Amino acid sequence: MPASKRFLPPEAVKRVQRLELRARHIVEGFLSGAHRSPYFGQSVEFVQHRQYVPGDDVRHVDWKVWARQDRLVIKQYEEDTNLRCALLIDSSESMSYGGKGQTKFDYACTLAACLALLVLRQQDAVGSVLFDNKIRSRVPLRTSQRHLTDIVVSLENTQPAQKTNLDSVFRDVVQTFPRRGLMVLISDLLGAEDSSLRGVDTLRRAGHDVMVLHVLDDDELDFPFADPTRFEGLETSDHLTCNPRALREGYLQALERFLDHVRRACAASKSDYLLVRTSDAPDAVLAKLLSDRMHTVRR
Amino acid sequence: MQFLFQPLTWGFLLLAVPILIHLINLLRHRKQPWAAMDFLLESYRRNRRWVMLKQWLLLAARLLAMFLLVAMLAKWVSGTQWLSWIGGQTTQHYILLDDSYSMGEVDQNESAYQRGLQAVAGLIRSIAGSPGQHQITLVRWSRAALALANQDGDGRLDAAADLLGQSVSRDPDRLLDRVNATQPTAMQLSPEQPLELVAPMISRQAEQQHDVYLVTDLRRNEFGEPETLRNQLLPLAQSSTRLHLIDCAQDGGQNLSLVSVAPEQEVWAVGVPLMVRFQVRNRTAREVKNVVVRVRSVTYGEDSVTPRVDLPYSGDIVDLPPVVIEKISAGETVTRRVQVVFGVPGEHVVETSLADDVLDVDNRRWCTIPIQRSQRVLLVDGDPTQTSAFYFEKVIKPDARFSTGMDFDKVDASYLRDAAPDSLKQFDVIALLDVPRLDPQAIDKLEAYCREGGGILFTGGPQTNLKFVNEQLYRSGQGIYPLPLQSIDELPADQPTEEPMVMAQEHPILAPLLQLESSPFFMLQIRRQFRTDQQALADTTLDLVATGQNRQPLVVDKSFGAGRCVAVLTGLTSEWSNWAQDPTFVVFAIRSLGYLSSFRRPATSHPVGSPVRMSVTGQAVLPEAEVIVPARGDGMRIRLQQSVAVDDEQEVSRLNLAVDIGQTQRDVVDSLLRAGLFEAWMTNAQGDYVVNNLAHNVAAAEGDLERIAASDLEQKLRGVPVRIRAAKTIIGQGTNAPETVHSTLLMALLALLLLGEQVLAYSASYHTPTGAR
Repeated sequence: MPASKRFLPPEAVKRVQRLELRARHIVEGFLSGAHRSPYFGQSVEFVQHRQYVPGDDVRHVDWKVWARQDRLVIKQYEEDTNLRCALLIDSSESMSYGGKGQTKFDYACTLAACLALLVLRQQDAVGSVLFDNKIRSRVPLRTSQRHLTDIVVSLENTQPAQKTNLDSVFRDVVQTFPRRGLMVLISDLLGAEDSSLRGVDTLRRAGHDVMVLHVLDDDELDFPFADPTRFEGLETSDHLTCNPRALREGYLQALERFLDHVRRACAASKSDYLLVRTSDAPDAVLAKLLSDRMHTVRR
Repeated sequence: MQFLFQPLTWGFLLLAVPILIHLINLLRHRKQPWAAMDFLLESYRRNRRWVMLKQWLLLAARLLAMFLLVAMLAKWVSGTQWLSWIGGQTTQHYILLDDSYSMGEVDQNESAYQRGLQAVAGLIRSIAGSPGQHQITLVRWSRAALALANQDGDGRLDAAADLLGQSVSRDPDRLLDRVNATQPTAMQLSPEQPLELVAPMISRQAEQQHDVYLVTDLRRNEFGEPETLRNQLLPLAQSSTRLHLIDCAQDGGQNLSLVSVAPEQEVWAVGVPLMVRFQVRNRTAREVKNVVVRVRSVTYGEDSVTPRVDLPYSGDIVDLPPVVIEKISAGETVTRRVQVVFGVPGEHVVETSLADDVLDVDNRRWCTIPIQRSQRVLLVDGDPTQTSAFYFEKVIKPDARFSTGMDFDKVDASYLRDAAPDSLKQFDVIALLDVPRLDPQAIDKLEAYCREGGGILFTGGPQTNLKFVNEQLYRSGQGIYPLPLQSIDELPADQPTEEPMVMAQEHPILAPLLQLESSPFFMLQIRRQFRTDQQALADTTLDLVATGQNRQPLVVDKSFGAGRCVAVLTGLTSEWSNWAQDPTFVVFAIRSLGYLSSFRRPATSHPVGSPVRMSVTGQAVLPEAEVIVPARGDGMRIRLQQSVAVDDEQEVSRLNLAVDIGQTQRDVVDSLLRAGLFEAWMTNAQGDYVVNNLAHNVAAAEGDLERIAASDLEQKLRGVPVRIRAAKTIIGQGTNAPETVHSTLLMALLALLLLGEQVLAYSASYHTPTGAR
């Protein structure tokens, strides 16, 4: 199966096409687009008046004010710019877990591919970074429609391995993407909780609009194991032989505490957060994510 | 810990199943790569102790549940171990089972002994159902009697007990397997013997609680005069021993008994008619009519019979005409005689039997009759004319065609002086006829002869020396002459009298003459008669056979050692009396000689349980002999091999089969305690069989089925608290109720435990949540 088919199932593509990704925070771009820019320019969104000075484009003079007040003022508009969206995909070994055939990494790749497609359809720039404890693969930001192939190939060629270290990775990402843009982190955030959250904070402090798609498998969320099992850590050498039913309640409590902590941290850093089950349809997840985001932006 | 169904206790191996499952579960697990190990380890750290505790509790609950399930199925019946762990007291139960032959009384197709066994089973069940630690000792009365007779010291109870200190079980059928196969013996037994056996044990274990159960039929002959029993029970009661009497019999038993059978004390010789006397007692409360007594003679001709176990007897059986007794009143004993003749010498047998009734054992009796070719009489006449001897000679050998079964040797007094001491043993009777004087050696020989069972007949006469008789023969009652002689009474001759001068007394010698309608002694004239000391007549060992003039003793009989001495206090010559010419003299001579010869004969019957002995003198026999014992019921008789002990010096071969419960095999003991004919067989060097028969008969008194009322017995056992219960109130006791309670308790415990196990398992999340895999 070609990589484009693997990570972009036709049904998902069909539904994603109808979605729109909007930057919630101000992002910097070279082109005019649908996203707010830190630069004032031509736009329908009026921002303020300023005193006319010689050299100003007379097209921006507010003639209604001149007629009423007999003074020349220039109308200033919020400039729209293009979106620069970086997809940060966790490819640590913990992402290799998948209870029902599809691993978390596969699912994360699907989400990333769908987002890339969506962004490119909007004429925005998209790039990708695959990382574990360091960056494994990087695809620069492009707006070309053919750029999607580069991203998908990059996803295809990466296998989950190594531990996670988001903090150090995101320092590199910040340097790689100095201009403010949208950072979409797709990860299970397992392995190093504090490091992960520090990494998110690093991105946010760099001015990026951050979206966290927290991907977890159904097994990890429900812990449905019944028979005696020897659990062997994917990113650690720990192992535990136990009757999983006896530990289920404690496990779920610990997991819930972790999720709650992550939610709070994301909220504190004004990052978007969405917990995603691998059993959820990717298009539905994106639809919900973008719908919530649009709602937030319009407010 | 006791279980009713022992084989099911193998089910306790199932206890290993939960452990195995636990171990298998520890080993059997699948590997699962896992990303969120941190949360899992955190949960494990937090719950480890509680999870482990729950697992151990769950395992323990399952083990206990399995244990209870198997215990319930196997009918766990005892909590004795639990009590012993906390120092519970042991109760010793002594069950003393009456197995005398009266326990064989059958009522409604069930004997009292069977009811006794059922009562014992009920008792054991009841004991098993009661709390505490219990041990049971079961002793049959017969074994107690044998142990007391044969054993010494502490081993007596060990040898006698069928169960000794046996931990109680709720499975009496298993516990009583040995006892249930037993039958009542043919012995007469009393409760004193088993009580004597267990009393020392009770006194030695004073710190323990004791219960003594007498399982018996409460016959009046055993409990009617219970002074001895009371004396035995009183110390037991004072030592806090609880006493129980279990009554196994039913009222109203109707029993006819053959109480004796024995040959008359006559001449037992070939071809001589012999009267066998038997007695039938009506022990019922009503008159019985037309009682038929079957009589059989069994001839064991020398060199003509061989041992046969497939027949009732090895000898030739002849059915004699049955004797019909027209009526026997309630409580009456009727005596009848039947004549038998044996044509060959040997140890012959006469069997008498009644029709079956409620108690069969006392309906048959046997006697053995050793028949000789002839009996030898030594006639010692002190008169040189040997007149007296002539009269006896004519009686013993009237002519060549007619045999009285006796031969005689006629000698003078010097023969006794010169004869070897043992040479007198060849004679069955010695008649001292008007002997004036005997040498001291002769007197010693005669006393030795008589002491060993020989019979001596004295007659008087002109030669008789009163002083010699009194000083040498009577010797103040120590000698062989029955009484002292004072003088000779001269009686007027030929005086007409209305009644006979001589009168026969109740004595075997002249008993036939007493049955005549008129006295046969009218023609008898006694002209001279020894007068005796009247004080000597007070001797209780002296029997009067006949009286003469003025009812003075004319013929007296006295025992000396095992033998008897009969003295005629007159002479046979015409100067002294005309008795020798009187027909009654023939009767007197034959019967007195027969009577006197009977005491050196072996007993014609023995009590049940007597040893079987046989000795052969003067011929070599093979070292192996055999004893054929009577069969139980109509079965085949049993052949027992026995060794012969040989005394080379005396050339005697002896066989001795005695009941010794310490040595004899159990089934052999049972067979030796039966009534019937025991045949002892040896084989001599020529290959010919030599047989000795022994008749073992039951004691007549045991056949009296009259019972003593419980209230009467309680009154007689005053001061001794005895709980008297009927066997029917105990039979079946404890069969269901305690077991049911026990099982119900176990089931309730099991249900509670399973419920707890489920709760525990649920609490430990051992149930698969929805969607689990």
